[in-house]
Amino acid sequence: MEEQVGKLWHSFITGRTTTGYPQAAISFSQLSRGLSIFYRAAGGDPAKTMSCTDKRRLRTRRAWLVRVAGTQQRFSMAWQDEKGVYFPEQIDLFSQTELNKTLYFWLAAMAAQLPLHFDWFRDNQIATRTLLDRYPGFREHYRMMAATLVTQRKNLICKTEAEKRREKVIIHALNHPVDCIEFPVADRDSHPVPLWLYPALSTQHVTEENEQPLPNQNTEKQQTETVTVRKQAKRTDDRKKTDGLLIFIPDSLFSWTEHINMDRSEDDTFDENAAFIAQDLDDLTLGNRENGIASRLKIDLDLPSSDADDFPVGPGIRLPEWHYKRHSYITHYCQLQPLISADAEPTELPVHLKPVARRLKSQLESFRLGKNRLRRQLFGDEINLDSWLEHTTSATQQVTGQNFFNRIDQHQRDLSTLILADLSLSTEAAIDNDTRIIDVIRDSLLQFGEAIHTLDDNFAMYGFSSVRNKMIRYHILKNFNESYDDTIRGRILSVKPGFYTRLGAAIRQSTRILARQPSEHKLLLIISDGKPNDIDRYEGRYGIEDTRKAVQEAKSEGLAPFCITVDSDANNYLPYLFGNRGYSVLHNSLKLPQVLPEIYLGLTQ
Amino acid sequence: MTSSCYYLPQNNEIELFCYAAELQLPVLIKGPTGCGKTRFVEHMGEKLNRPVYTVACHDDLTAADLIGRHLINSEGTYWQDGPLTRAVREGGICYLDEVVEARKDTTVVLHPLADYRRVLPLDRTGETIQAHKNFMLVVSYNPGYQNLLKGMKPSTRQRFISLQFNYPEEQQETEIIMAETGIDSKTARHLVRLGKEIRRLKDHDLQEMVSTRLLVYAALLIEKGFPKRDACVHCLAESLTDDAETFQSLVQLINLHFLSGKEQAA
Ligand SMILES: Nc1ncnc2c1ncn2[C@@H]1O[C@H](COP(=O)(O)OP(=O)(O)OP(=O)(O)O)[C@@H](O)[C@H]1O
Ligand SMILES: [Mg+2]
Repeated sequence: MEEQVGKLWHSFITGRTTTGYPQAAISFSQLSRGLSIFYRAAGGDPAKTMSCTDKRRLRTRRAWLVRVAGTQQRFSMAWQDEKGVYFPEQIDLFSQTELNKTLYFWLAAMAAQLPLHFDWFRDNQIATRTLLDRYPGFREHYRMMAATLVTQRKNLICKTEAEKRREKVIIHALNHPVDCIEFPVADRDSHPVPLWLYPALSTQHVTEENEQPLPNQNTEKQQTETVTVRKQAKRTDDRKKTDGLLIFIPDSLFSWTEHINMDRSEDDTFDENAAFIAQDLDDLTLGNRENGIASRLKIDLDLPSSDADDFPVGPGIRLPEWHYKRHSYITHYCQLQPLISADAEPTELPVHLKPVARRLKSQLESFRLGKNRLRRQLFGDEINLDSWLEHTTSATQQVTGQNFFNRIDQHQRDLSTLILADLSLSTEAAIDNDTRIIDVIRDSLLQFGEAIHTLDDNFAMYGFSSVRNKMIRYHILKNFNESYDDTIRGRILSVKPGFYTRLGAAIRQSTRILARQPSEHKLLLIISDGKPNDIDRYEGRYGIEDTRKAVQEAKSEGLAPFCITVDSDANNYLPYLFGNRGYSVLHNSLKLPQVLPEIYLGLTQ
Repeated sequence: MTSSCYYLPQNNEIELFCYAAELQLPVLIKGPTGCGKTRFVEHMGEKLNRPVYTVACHDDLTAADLIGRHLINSEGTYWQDGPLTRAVREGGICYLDEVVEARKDTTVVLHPLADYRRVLPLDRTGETIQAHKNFMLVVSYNPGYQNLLKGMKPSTRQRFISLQFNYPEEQQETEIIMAETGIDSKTARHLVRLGKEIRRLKDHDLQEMVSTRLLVYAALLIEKGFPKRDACVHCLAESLTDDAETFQSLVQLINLHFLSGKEQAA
């Protein structure tokens, strides 16, 4: 009995009409990847991300307990904006797990179906109708979900006539989704319908239905709070991916850094542009971004003497950079320092990589054999029937022309590959509990080294990071002349993330190196985890344009640049940088070590 | 003339092909796998009443495989024309499928045939054949594969009139599937919609797109009585991905189209 009361109490306090079914609960995180695939298949915008929503507060009618629990309740309602689709963190409305799961997929399909700005009540019903018509598989589930929800709603309290009328309309809409019903106005918020998508959290559109201004201004304030929570979470993300600009929308092209830099556009010479000094930053009050700058600055000031174990090779190299607004290069603007880890111990391939390496190796062995057949040889592994027939049929059977064999060639393919890995700070980001992007990149480089070594292809490996134009660190992991062995493995294993991603300069230097190779085909393979960025104006359009220019230079040198990224946002900017076919986006970054050799083979087979 | 080889036009390709045939111009067909390229050429062969010689190109294909070679029998040696030479001599369409797969030194034998000269020199016999007036060269390739080492030389490419093929529109594809398999229109429509949804995953989640061919396969199985959902799983999900999660999402999608409530509850 006591238990019962406790449960009831809980359900009231947490604002549920009915107790959920925790044993049948399913969480967003269990489904997220499948959901986003499904969302795209159902016609959703591939650029949008899927994530959890914050709860929102609604003023619904409650029993006397309201006074105890507070006037407002918090609900997880699904919604979307131009950036993403937001789902409840967990769903346990139904006693069958299957139904809770279906509800997630239903919401994803609704999101793909509904326009961004909508007459939410009507459009939700139209979308429901469309989905039921389109997918017979939803019908039975919808019927069950709607029936359960209708039953649950019976317990809701409606005080006024208006509220009762509204509740009736909602129930009707659930049972018979049609598009002609006006949403009746009534006091308070209606209890939300989990099958529907609600207007964007930030616009407050949702409470529109019935809002008289609230007695205390709390709602307003709390609403903004919740919005901020989501944005803050997003911001950490943003730092990794640089700002959320979309390169195809001209207005958004000017990121804040550029606005700042416009006034400074004359300090472009290398020496003058000593620093993006702190004072400049103090003057900035760009709201949202402020924190970001502060933390970035901090990172910069904390610049450790991590160079200690990296040994500079040569005095450094000056490289130009493209200034898109002036439409010209700034010559000698970038200082690139080749580095080599001095104290890297020769190391064997780590144990956890061995099984895959072995498998890849055996796959590649056969691949290599099949590909290099030299025809009409004096000696060889198989008979060349053509030459024998020609010889037999020709009138003068010369002894000299007896090249009756094909030989399987063990020589290299006419191909050189330079792998350029992004070692910026963002690669410190964790993918899961015990893996960071940098670990995956390291493993990938190793795995790739093993694979390409098996193929006997000519290759080199470099990594890079930057702190402004003055310090572009260009790590030599393996140059074209070194052979792949434990020393190289050791160097790869000792790789540590640096700071930012001045991609243009790194591409230019790599182009210089690769262009000197004598082979006919030259592949520049770039592994990255996000947009080009740096602490100065390189963030935003400037960096994008410079990188694009560098890619074009590489192409005009006869190289084939190709980018592999684990940034799921990459479809927004990579086509602009590398062209439609010049890149590949990996959605599960953990797979990079395995996929990288496959992509390489696909490109060169 | 009615042709027995069914082809539903997607665009102006039939007209263009007829002009090209009349004007003796070579044609290049680009398009993803299983979108009807081969079918189109077969169909045009019937329509124009010309034999079609198809060669599937691969990187071991030698010029001799196209042109011909000497062979030996009990009476001694004799020359045997390859498919290209036959088409050139007797008049006919020579169709080189996936031409980029052939090595570049093989495809250069096409050059004198694919310009105004229309000749085929046979080094081995010393003969130079002037192409028959009904000879037509057609090549196809799939531009979807990113490959650095392959691709057509511009000098080859610029000898052809190009036609871009794609998977047919919803309405047309439904019609094709019905015509090819005799399946009912409702199922056909669901198959096509499902195909369209899966195609949206290209690049992001899948390397490949569902081809019309695969949809036809699924429809054939269904028409013979194989359960719809399973037919789709084997034709559309298994054949497109090995990734477990992607596969699950595809199955989910298939279920939404092809499971009745009862089946689902079971
Ligand atoms: N327009 C069409 N009219 C009739 N059938 C079509 C059409 N398009 C596709 N098909 C069907 O699709 C199947 C595959 O077409 P086809 O074999 O011509 O593909 P393809 O483009 O040559 O593919 P590949 O590049 O793999 O050789 C055909 O067998 C046919 O059933
Ligand atoms: Mg074909």
